[in-house]
Amino acid sequence: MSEAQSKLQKLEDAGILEKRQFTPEELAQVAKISDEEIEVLIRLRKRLGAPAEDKHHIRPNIFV
Amino acid sequence: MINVSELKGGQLAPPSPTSVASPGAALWLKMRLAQSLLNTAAQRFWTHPGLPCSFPLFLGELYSIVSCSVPLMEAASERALQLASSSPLAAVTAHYLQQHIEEERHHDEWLLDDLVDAGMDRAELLQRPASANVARLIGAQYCWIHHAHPAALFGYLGVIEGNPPLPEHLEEIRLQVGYPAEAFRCMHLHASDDIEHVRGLKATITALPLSESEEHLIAMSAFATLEGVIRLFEDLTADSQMPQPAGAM
Repeated sequence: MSEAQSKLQKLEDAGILEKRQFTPEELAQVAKISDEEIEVLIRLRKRLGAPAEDKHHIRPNIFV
Repeated sequence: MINVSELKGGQLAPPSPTSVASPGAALWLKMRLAQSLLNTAAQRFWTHPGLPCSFPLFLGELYSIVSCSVPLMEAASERALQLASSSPLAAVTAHYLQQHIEEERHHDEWLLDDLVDAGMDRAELLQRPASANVARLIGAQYCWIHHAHPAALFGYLGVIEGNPPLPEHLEEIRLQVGYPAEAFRCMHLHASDDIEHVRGLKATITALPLSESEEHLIAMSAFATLEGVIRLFEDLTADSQMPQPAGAM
């Protein structure tokens, strides 16, 4: 597995990336995210726990 | 200090469409990933059983954030203007913020009126200092504005404003917490206005003239904002499960 594929897999396994929501060109860009940034996202995902199923369309309602 | 209108030529041209491979487009993708995490945190908050108890606490935090918003952007805009003659990124930052400040101006007053109509105490809202969670969110931005680059604020804006509510979501929440419609006037205004604001924000961010280090700075700001908002939601949820002293907001 290439480094780029490995990064995408890490993000997908952590429940951060849903590949179907990104174009191939966007995924190529996502794969360039630094290791440090991936670690931050994975740490926050672990803190939050698993995402709610099929809830990605729901807006966060911060409204500021 | 120079005025943004005095800057020459292309520095202030409106953002043009960019390829997905641009540094700004890569930055926007990172913000989309952050939004997926923010959705989880928000989903938990808006569906937790203690929401009617934590909603007034949320409104207090919301008012603090909104009332800090324009002064924060003015500080970033002023710093960006100081740097604009030597930094194309600062010039774009100043241009964007000067427009967005006017879009956001007086929203704190409108929100305050709504909260008073909902039964909250005006004097208490005005006198109450920002919580530690809000101070962490806002304070980090002042640090980066003055000690790194004012464009860091794009990371904050991308997370905070990047996924506004729909009117139907607000109505669902209103019915759940049992507040009058008057309490949601400003929020509904934001719901309709922010769709357009997000388009403008995305167009600006994806076209930013970024170096690698500047892109990393804005991404760091976005992730720190994400973490701050997650903590705010977590604490609000936890606070709703504790007995509240009489008169607590």
